Amino acid sequence: MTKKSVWLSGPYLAWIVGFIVLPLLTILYYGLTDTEGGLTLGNVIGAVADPLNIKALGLTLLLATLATVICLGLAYPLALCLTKLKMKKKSFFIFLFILPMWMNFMLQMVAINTILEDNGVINAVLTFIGLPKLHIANTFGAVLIGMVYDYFPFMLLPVYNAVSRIDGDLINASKDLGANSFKTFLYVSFPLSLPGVISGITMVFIPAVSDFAIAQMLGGGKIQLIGNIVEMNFTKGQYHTGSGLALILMAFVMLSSLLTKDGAENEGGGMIVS
Amino acid sequence: MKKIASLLLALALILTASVVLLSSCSSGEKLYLFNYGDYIDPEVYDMFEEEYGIKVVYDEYAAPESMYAKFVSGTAEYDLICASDYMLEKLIFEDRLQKINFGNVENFKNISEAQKNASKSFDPNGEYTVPHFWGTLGILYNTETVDAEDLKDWSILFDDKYAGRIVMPDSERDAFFVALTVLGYDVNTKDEAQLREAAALLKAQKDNVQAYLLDETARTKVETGNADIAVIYNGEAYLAFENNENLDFIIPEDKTYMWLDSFAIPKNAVHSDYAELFLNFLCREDIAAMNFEYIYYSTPNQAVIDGLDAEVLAEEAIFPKPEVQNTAAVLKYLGAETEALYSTLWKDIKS
Amino acid sequence: MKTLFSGLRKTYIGLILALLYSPVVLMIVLSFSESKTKWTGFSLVKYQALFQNERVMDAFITSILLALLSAAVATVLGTVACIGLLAMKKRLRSTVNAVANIPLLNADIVTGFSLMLFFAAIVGRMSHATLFISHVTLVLPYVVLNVYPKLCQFDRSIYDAALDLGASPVQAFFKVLLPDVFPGLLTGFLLALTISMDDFTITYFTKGRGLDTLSTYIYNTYHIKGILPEYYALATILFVGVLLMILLIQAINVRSAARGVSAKAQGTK
Repeated sequence: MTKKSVWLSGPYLAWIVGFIVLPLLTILYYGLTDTEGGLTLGNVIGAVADPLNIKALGLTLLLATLATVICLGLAYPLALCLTKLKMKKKSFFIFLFILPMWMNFMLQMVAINTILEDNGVINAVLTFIGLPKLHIANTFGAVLIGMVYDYFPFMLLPVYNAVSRIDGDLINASKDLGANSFKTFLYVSFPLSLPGVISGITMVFIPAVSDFAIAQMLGGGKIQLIGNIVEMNFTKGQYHTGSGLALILMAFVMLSSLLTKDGAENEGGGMIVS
Repeated sequence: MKKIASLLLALALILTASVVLLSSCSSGEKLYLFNYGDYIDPEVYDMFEEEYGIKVVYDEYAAPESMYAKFVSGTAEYDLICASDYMLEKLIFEDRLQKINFGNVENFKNISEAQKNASKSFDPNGEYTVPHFWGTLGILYNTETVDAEDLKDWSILFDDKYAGRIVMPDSERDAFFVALTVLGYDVNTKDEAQLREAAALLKAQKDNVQAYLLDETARTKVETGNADIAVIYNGEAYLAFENNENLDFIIPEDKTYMWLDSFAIPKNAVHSDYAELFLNFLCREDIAAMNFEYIYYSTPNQAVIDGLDAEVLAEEAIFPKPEVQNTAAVLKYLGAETEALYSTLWKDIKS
Repeated sequence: MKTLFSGLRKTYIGLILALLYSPVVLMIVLSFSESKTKWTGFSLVKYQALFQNERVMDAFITSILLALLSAAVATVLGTVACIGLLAMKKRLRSTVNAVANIPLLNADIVTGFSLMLFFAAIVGRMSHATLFISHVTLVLPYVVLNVYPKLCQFDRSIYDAALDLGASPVQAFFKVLLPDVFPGLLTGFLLALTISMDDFTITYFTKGRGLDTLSTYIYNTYHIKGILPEYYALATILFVGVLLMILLIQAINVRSAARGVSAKAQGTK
């Protein structure tokens, strides 16, 4: 508790340097050298210049944006509804919404695949009520559904935390001053909930941008995201090319988290019902 | 404060130690195997451990190219690997395998002459490999929804008739084999223009493909009615018949290639002695028979073949008919340059 | 009008819950059916298959052990670090935090890939140790983020009072400081546990030969064998297990919160 206790963080600092800084330097080294060890920008430039990568990047950004928007669109009204809800043990009720997340992520994907298949649950229901079958399995839509499902709790929790903390007096004051519900929402509630929204966006967008497993599990090998290309480079042992692409991906991620820095502060802490 | 710190540090150390302990407590005699998925009856591993006290620790892979990378990267060392002909040819060419001491693999005598000969296409002097299974590539289809007449020709896969109902192999060489065959080119061509043409064909086909899958995943799609046509290895098709009686297997125009998957010992193997012991075990008649009944691919083990019923031997999905065997192509290692081209084209097809 | 809105709200909440739980319910229902895709009457074959599948069970145990150990080590390491961080100059501290939080913000695939490249350069091949280190690195920020705020709130004078009253630093730590930061510590530990359990990407890149966690095993076999019947049973067991664990923690949490209050009351006496 005195100045001397600074050294208590020694092991932690060593860990950070050893297993965060050094690995990042390693990937930087790989990204900036060729197989002979010569310095080059070829990997990074090649990563951006390859039309296939650009296409994959476009698809990734589209998918990640859609997933984020849908998550927000579903979570924000839900957060509002939940705040209005009056009940005992509410925190436990909120917890019900993140509980499915704790079933292993891969098992979730397996379940979703079972539901979406041509002969799966959805189509069984559709056939039963006399509607034509939907072909969702192994398409862009399937990957999108998988992402929304997997990342939804990461959006809901920060948004709910922000919305539920809004001081009711402020809302009442706004109404007393003559604003209608819509105006109150637009000028009072929504701006106050913005940090939570931004935090949620970061927590959905970043994993979505770097995903490869969901696309692999639900895309039938037909959806190639940036993550899939990095993974392909990895499985094929093309470490230098892969690192170049990974650096680009990292730049994207770091940029988006810098842009949303304020909101991201309460990340992690907001993930468990407190 | 210092006491607290040292206490906590000690705790951390104890925990770390327990991890190290945990990872080493399971030590004992081990053989590290890198194999295609589900290629050996798991019970065989138990029997081997019982008889020799050596535990087989194995990793499984689906596509040969990923096996190669992991193997070459050195991030995991194995005592024994199983791979396909052209991949073994590449490994031999790159001098990554060690010669097997066949004196320790007495049961190698059980391997049929035909497959010993077939091995010569990639292992000319028969020094590096022991055959495991062989087979062909064909089409598994649902007889209720697919007109068998349509499957007389590989080109049906590129037709719109069965759009969205087709499963293609998630493996570069297999997918290109189909396209090159339809185009009438040599399946081992190194000609860039021909390969690009094949890639264009595959890319155009993508919208009609339900999914790119391998082995059991591909077969399950057809078994469960989620797809009607799958390009698949023959043995997989036979297993599918057991789960769905409306399925059949066909090799269009009898045009196919014959693959031969064999075991080999990497140069950096720590326990080549265990590997040879295990190879000898695998070639033993009863064990080979167990594996055959587990996977139903064509076995190279003559002793097992001799003991089979005529009915099984006549099953074309397991043992291709002589016409097919005689005319089938063999995939060759194409060299680094063509491989890189394959890789780029495949990435393009899939993105 | 009000009841209409309230009804709409409840419908919406119900709808989202239904969507969230449909995969879970599907897995649980099908786990008791013989067929993979249909209900064909009650059967336990999938559970039987699960317990007979040594590899799945091994992967399951690996996942749990790995999560427990990495969460425990990260909690100890992180808590100790927090005490140090508190005494650190503000500027240095924010730099350290910025670097420490990189795994939290960065794409998992980049973290995993960089760790793999680093280990490959240093020790050559991946092993149990590389996997373990990677998981601790992954979960460490979650511990610090939960413990540090609690530690900031801790009233130092209570600790000093304990020392003045003759408690040794160790006693003071365990009797005064720890109960106070315990909720944060527990949250951090649990969060670390779940992050580790659920991780796929980092594990995929840094695991050694012949070793699989549940996530990598399922990913791998999914590409080779598709969906195994065992998974339905596994999903059910996992879900029910987690549910029970949560209920247990709720109970502990309530109790420890009560204890924290009483400890504080004693301290000020």
